[in-house]
Amino acid sequence: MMQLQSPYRPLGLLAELTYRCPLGCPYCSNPVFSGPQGAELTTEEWIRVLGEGAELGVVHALFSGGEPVLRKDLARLVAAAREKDLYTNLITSAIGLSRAKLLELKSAGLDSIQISFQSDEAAGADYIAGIPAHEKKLEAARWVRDAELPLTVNVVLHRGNISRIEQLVGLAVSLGAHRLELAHTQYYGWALRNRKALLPSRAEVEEAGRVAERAKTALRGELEILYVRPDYFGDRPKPCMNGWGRRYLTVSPEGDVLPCPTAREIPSLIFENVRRRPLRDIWERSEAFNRFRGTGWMPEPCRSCPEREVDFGGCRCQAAILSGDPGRTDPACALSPHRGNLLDILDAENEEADFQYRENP
Amino acid sequence: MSDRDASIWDRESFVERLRALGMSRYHHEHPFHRAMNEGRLTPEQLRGWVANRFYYQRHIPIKDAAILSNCPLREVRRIWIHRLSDHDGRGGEPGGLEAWLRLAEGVGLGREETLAGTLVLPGVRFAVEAYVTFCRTEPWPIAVASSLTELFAPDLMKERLEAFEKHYSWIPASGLDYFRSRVTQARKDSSEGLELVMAHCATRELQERAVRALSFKCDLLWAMLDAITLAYGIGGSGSPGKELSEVSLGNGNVRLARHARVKGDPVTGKPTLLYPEGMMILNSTGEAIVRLCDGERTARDIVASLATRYQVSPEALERDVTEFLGRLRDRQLVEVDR
Repeated sequence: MMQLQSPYRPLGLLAELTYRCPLGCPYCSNPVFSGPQGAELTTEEWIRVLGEGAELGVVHALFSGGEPVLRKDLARLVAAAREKDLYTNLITSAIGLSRAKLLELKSAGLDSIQISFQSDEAAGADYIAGIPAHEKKLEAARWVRDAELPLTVNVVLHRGNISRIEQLVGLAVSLGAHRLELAHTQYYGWALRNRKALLPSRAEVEEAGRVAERAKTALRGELEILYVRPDYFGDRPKPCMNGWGRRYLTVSPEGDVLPCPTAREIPSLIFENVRRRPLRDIWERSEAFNRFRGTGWMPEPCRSCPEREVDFGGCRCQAAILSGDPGRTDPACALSPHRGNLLDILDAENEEADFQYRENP
Repeated sequence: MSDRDASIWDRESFVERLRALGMSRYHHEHPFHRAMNEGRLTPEQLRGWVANRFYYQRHIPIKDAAILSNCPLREVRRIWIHRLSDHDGRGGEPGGLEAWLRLAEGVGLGREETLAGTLVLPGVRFAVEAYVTFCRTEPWPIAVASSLTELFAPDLMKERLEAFEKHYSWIPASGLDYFRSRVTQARKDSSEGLELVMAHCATRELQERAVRALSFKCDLLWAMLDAITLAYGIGGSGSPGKELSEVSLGNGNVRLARHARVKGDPVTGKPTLLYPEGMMILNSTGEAIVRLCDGERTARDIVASLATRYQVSPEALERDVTEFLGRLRDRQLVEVDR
């Protein structure tokens, strides 16, 4: 048994294998880049990182991106993760996947697969993706079912598809999915840039919640539906990442280690890199991971709030974006002194607007 | 049974006899249909019904073609023939069978699977084939009389449509097109059929045979639902509206899903259950239950095994075990045989 004294122990390692992606979804959580990026980690480097993660207590390897199947060494990385006894999850758009590649991943030990869908019908879906992708995704989902791998269907919700919850549930049922994640757009990165075009109305959000709840009850035991009410429209913030530097870590394509995939929204944070420092060192000692750990960093009203260890003060990136300071209470909380900034956005941004597709770095 | 000397029924009493029969024997009162319209069917039960009912649907144009082939009267054939294209479609019109396939897809059945008929039950197959044979071998006015269950269909379709929209909202609206179109179509068809029966069952003997044909048809529809009920059951712990989820003791063998893994935690040493994008820390009872989900035991067997191990009465464990298994099943982590 390994020794771990810290109460902070990563359970999931999100391996963002590449930021390259054939899709152009305008709500992508990848960073909005400018300028050249470092080289992607090599196969050997990723294998070492997965091993260091397992040593730290990680139990889930989540292979994501960009589009992770663009990495030719994906099956090798899955096999390496399984050798470390990690549960392996692939999070993919399914574009670039073939039946042969899927079977290769399965024999490498892939445990589960999540496919993103942009909508339940091709026209709307392909409009968001920016390329004809929907039919290919349907086909890939059938391969997943044939391969007897558990399938999660993930749909990012926004103004364009929020009124189609029933159809999205129908899609997941017809694909034989085990889980359906209905995830409201989180407004960071590309999504923040396109917020005006993506933000639904309060009435739409409420109706979507009702429909999702009904479907969840009706399909109990058949399809697990995960629907999280969007924090923009709630009174309390989301327990982002289950607490900063507490349960998850993200490794970017070039080896930067982030407390969450969007942590680059906080300009004052400096991220350490697995090429220069062991993962354990970064997790336990780096400034970026320690800055918002626990409750010591909290200002009022969080500091004295009975829910401070329920929602951990919400999302640091959102506090930075909406209040200008990542060390403040998340304005998604009704008790935040900067709540007005969020309410202004809800009023002002519920109008027609064009979006800009995500671009590759 | 028939009284050859008896006089012919007038139109009113003939119609009344047909109606009375249908009101009491049509399958709208079958427990499976009642459960369907009250929203008590599970998705799997609905799928079972759709797959089996499709076998019936696809034989409708075949029996109508049989009726046409037995009918020497041009004017009757002209009336009857649209039934073929109503179901099979024509030109750009996809037809009722296509709408039915959309419903199949909407409830999560594969199109190929539905067409291949892999889920069709022996009882359903037998009933449907008996219907086609009946229409092939009986005089055409009698075969037409057997179709008069349509007299009662519009109300059932209307009720079903409302029930599906209310209780099974996970089915896409496009899946319900068949029911929608049948409300008006069945009304028109049944009055057509009724007029033909009135005009061409012109002896008391034919009238009585017509009533018996309708009775045969009601039995046949009822028997199909009996077979479906026997195979799929009605309601269940997974049925809508039930807050507390549990796997009942009487259900089939319980098996841990292939994609769920039990593993000792590398840090704490505690047993954990790993599954897609999540994990659960198990206490010792939880671990024992999970390890007994080997596909060889029912929930009742698991309770018995634990009771022996911990030297307690099975009753003391029942609730914990069935609730825990219910939670696992809700997350697709155990499968329960039927």
